Amino acid sequence: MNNKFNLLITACLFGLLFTGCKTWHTLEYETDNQPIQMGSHLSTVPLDTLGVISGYYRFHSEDAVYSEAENIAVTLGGDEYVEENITTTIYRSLDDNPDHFIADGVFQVEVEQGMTFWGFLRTVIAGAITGGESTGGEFSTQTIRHSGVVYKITPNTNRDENE
Amino acid sequence: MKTNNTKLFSLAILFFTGVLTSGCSVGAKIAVSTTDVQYPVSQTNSFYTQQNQLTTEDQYEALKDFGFTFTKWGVSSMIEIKNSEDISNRLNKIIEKHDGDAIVNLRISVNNPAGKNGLLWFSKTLTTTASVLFTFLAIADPQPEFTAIAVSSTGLTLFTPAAADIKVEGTVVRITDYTSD
Repeated sequence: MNNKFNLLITACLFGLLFTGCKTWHTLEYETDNQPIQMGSHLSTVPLDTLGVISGYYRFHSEDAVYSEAENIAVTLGGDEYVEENITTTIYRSLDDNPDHFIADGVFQVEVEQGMTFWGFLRTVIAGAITGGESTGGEFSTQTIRHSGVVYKITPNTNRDENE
Repeated sequence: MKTNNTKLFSLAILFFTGVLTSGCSVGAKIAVSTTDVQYPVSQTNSFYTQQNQLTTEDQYEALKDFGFTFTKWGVSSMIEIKNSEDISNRLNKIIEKHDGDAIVNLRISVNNPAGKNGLLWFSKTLTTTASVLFTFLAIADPQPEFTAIAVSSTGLTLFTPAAADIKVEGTVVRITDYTSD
């Protein structure tokens, strides 16, 4: 009996390792006619290198801290937001300069999961006020950072090459 | 009197441990690059060819939508170990398989595998607690067992990994018009 119980617990733990709901967060661009290339620009003719551009997309969610006793109920916090600065930065750069484009793109993907100190404190306070049980304070953050090099097509070079 | 001191000491350690574990998290940082991709790979619907020819939507035909996912592990907490994945070969093979010229509308997505990372976070809280408790014990009563557990649990705390699911999607295209601007 004891062995079966241990086996069940082990199976549950392994199951937990390979399951979990999938919530994908995507970084995508919608610009007209201006490339944002991930790999090298592959150009065989010289280009002007103007500098590096970078930014990020971040999704953050935090569970609500909830506490309830027989006569008192307290609900505190809970948060979910998307923070983003990359599309505006890149669009501004490209919209103002039609002869610019971005290449050599590199991504850095970040995932973080845990419990915040404030979430823990709020849980303890809510529990102390109501004398009930409280849960929460856990957070999950997913970030996609993108950086790339801004190049400029020089009209003369382009014309010469086409000819 | 001695019992009271022991209780106070235990409470102090428990509080300290609670504060430490409540603030802890597991994380991973992974770089995704294409250092050796042989074809234009664009995140928008246009791209430049090797001849600096801007190629837009009306100058190519879409051949195939594709997508693949992979899981990478990394360490990102008090100590950070970055991992990286070069997807050049995969993208080159996808383009060649469909006899295409480029990839457009490339999208990168990330997912937190909450089951795996939740379990690792839970194990990190345990190792952090063990690290604090056995460090105190090793200082108060220097025994090899206490020191060994303190060192190993601290190591596990510092190097607890986390996973990140990454998805890459896009469309393989073939250029149909080489002449128009």
